[in-house]
Amino acid sequence: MSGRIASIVLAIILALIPSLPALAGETSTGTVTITMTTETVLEIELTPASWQIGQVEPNTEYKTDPERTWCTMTNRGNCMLNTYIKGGDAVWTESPSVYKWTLNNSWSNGRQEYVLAYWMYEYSSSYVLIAKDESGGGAEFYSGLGMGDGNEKQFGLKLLTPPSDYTKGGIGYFYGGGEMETTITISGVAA
Amino acid sequence: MNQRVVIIALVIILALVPCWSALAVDNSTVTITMLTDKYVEITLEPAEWNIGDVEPNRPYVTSPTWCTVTNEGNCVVNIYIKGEDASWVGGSGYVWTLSSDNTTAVKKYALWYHIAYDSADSYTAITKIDTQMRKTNGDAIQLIGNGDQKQFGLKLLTPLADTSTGHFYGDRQMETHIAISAVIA
Repeated sequence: MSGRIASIVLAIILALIPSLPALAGETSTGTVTITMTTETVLEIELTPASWQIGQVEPNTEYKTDPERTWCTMTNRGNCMLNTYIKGGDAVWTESPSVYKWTLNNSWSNGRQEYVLAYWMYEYSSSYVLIAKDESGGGAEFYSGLGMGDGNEKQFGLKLLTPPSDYTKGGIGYFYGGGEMETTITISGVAA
Repeated sequence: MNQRVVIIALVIILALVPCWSALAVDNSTVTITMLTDKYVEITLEPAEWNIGDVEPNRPYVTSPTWCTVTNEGNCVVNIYIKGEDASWVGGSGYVWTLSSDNTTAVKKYALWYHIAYDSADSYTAITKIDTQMRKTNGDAIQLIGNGDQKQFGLKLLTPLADTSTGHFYGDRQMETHIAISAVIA
């Protein structure tokens, strides 16, 4: 054969080798592009995460102590967050399906309806109502929460119990005697 | 032949990150607990069973739904029952002892209860020991919250005759009580 073999085509795809070997007699260049995406971590830390009010009376207002700095919200993730808040109904832990207090989306309590509100320290100028928002993520709570200590935000809570369900011997009682429990949900979404 | 083969640059994208977690939302919660005053009260309706004249060794039965017990308090309660001896109203020295073994004898009577809508003719003995009321399958009778109700009936079997002629001593009004109590579950 008189023909000249100019080069031998070698196309070797080596996934984990960062460069292609030099081919004798010719110059060629292959590139390997590597892309990586770091994991996004969203994590909100609430301290404390429970408020045990103790004995409550009908139609009475209760506030956390300290009033406006009771809970510290810290962004333990790795991106700035917008936060949202919503409440839920309070249920009788003895039998949740039998008796509950509905969270009222207004400032007035009513028969088996209670009210929740928060005060964001150095941010709120008055208490802000906490609503149910069953289908949504909740109302805007704090936007642009930076990461880590130093960016944390503090808030307090206020709860107004419903009026009594009935009276015995001049004392008002709720139908649910014992313990009532409710939950406030704070959601964080990457800003 | 004079050929040149151009090496084709190959772009290999190595996806060294298999996937990234699309954590759209993080939820944290604050749990609020409150303690409300407890109040225990039940009512019985009716609270009296006037049987009238009775004969020795005869059963007397109410309807299965004769008495309604209602939770007037605000707690989940278990219901207990106990009986007592029947005494002679206006007299002394004559007592019918409440049976503890479902049997009767002279001056010994028996009492049972039946929970409404339980198995037909299923009766449970009432003794002088405070005992939790249960259905025949063992389910405890519990009143869940204010206004909850349960119904029950009673059966009483009179003692054997006092006299050899087959009678009780005459014209004596006998009275007994059944205590129904509610205990916070």
